[in-house]
Amino acid sequence: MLMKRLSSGLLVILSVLLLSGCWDRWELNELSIITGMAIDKSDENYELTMQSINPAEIASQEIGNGYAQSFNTTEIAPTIHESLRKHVNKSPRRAFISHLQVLVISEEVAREGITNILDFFYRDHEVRSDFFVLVAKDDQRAKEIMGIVTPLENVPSQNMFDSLQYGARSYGGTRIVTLDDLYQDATAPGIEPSLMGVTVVGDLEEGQERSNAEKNTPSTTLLMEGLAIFRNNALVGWLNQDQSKGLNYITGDIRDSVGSFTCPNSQEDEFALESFKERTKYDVRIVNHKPIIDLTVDIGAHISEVNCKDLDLSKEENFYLIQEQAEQEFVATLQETVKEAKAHQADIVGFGQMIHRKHPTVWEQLEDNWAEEFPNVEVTYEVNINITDTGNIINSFSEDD
Amino acid sequence: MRTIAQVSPRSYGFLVFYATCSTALLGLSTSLTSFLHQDAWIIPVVASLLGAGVVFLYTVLARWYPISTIYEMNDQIFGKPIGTVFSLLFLSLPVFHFPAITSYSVTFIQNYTLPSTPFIVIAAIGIGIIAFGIFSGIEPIARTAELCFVFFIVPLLFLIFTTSPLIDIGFLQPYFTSSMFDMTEAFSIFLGNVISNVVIQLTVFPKYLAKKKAGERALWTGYALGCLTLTIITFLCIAVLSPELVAVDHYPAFTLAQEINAAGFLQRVEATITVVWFICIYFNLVLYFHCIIIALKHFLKLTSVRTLIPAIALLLVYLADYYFNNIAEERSFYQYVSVPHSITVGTLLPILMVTVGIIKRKKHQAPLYPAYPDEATVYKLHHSKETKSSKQI
Repeated sequence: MLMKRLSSGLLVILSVLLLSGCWDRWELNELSIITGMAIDKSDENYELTMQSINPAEIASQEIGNGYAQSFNTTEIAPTIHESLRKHVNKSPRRAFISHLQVLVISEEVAREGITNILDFFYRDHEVRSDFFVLVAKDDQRAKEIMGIVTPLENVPSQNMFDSLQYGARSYGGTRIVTLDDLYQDATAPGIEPSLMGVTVVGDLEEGQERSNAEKNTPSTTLLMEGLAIFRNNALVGWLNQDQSKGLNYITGDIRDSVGSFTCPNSQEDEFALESFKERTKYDVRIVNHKPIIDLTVDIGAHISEVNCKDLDLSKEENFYLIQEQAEQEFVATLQETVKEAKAHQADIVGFGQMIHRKHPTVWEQLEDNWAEEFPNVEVTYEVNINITDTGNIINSFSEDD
Repeated sequence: MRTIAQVSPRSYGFLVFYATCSTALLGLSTSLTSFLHQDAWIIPVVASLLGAGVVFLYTVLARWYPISTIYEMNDQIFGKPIGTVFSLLFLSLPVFHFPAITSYSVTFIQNYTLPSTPFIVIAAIGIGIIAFGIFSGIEPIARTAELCFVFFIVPLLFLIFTTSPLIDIGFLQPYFTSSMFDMTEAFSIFLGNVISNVVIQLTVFPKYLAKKKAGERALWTGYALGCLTLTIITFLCIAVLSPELVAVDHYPAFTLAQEINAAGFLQRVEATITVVWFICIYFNLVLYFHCIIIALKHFLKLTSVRTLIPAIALLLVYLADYYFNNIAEERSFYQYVSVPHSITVGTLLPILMVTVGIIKRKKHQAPLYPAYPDEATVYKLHHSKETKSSKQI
């Protein structure tokens, strides 16, 4: 009986010791939630800008003080992790990066190579790999991008995250690259990374004021445009928006997009197609010991706008005419993309990877000097656009049916 | 009156299932992928089939000595002195691996959830629960295994079904390009870390199972399910995360769980999924502990070992804490010590036992693949064990 009491007493003490709480807990009010990070170069060190959100100002149930919704701090240290921990020097809370949404790298840093700055993000246990990586374009300092007060979403990192995410679903000019994708592209044989560009349009000073978000036409906005292309994991050039779209089509990373094409019967006027079903296939043939890559892009599309004169869309043959015209222009876009990549010897398309996957033995011979071989690879394009619909009306008002 | 614990075949099947998965469920794909890149998923498929041969050896031994543990089998096959040497060799497997696996799993917990909690605290709490399990006996352990099934299979299936839409077949291409040498090396890892580990089952099966025949079936089912799970997880890791990422990731299956995103709202659930690894590592460690305890019982001819459990547990906590100085040492242990050691104990030793056994049995004209005795016979055998076992071959 005594034994039983003694053991139950011990059990109570043990429970108190073991169930009292977590050893190293950090309560929410002790954490500063970092949603965006920007990396610039400052002499030999990295200058890390961290954007933490101000929950009291963002929460919809609370009436805030009208202070800024986010809080940026900048720290300089030789390593990223040290800068991150130094955050607390300027902030009352510890930096917590599990909810990181965007990482903006300045062009200067990207030109030196991205592998050493990315190491921390793969190594640290707090980091999840679902945030997007961007490059600050036009010599814009990454730090300044984080400083813009953007309308609608006042936190710039959230603004960029949403812009990229929804852009990929509705226009296709943006390319979503998460940390995992970046790792794959940076280390896998025969493919180089490409990262989305971001820049500031308008006046930088005014953009940092709160009044920027108070205007109907803000003087300063962020702009997601262009794609940074890499060779040996260092930035070597940029693709423009059309070429970025072309790349998305080639790699099959597009979901919904709109493109404008010239009318088959007149050079000045345009029609627009909304694509909704994209499928890209590739094949690699070996002819005379040289690889030839056959790209096939199948697109299902609607006609979403017609400005062409004298084009009767109620006739079936005109559909084929439009299809053919669109296909030709589309091939030209794809060619442009590949041409630009070849000019920089940067295999962002992953032709090397295609050869590796289909003909591993051929790849072994090409692998060692792939950067030189890549511009010589022949590519054939086949685009099949299948127009099924013309929207709510058949012909434009200019037509008399 | 029952003199010996009786594990039901179904519970035992779960026990084998968890123990086969063990730490391999968390980290196997890394070691396979670092050798074979995109081809790594072939190894679990081929090796589990070949490994069935090894498991068959265990069942042959079980059929020959249906009321013994591996320690008693050794004595009966090789005779007392040489048998003891081989039993000690077998004992080295749990003794070497218990601290190693504890260290691996505590590092995992430290890495992801409790970064500044001291190692020894996590290890002490973990081993405390294991010791409690052993204290309760093998029968409650097996029942717990059966009860844990829900908490194991639901998160596991959830992990599989939510990540399978993310499969990119391109990551698996080109197919079958790895050299034979790398294949053999990866195969030896699987043979060492997964298949040879099943040998610890010989301290439970056949002795503690009343229904031997059904127990054998449970061993096969558990082994098959374990290998199937490992195959699926390895495949998913490579096809979802890409071989490049898996090859450098310490805990690829955990990274896979981080990818879960069901309908945009059910995400960041990897901390919940970890229960899968906790369950299978727990039961694997419990079986290792059981091996050590049974060995003490056997070597020191004790009737009860309960009083020794806390002492052994304390020793194991400190052993786990001081086992590795750093992660590099741990990796080289798995590469250069664990694999050859496990293969020696889990594959070569049973081969030797069966070979010697066959020669002896041929001489005595005993059947090479006897049927299991029925329950009544087993009961009788257990009671007259002291007198009969010495005469048994």
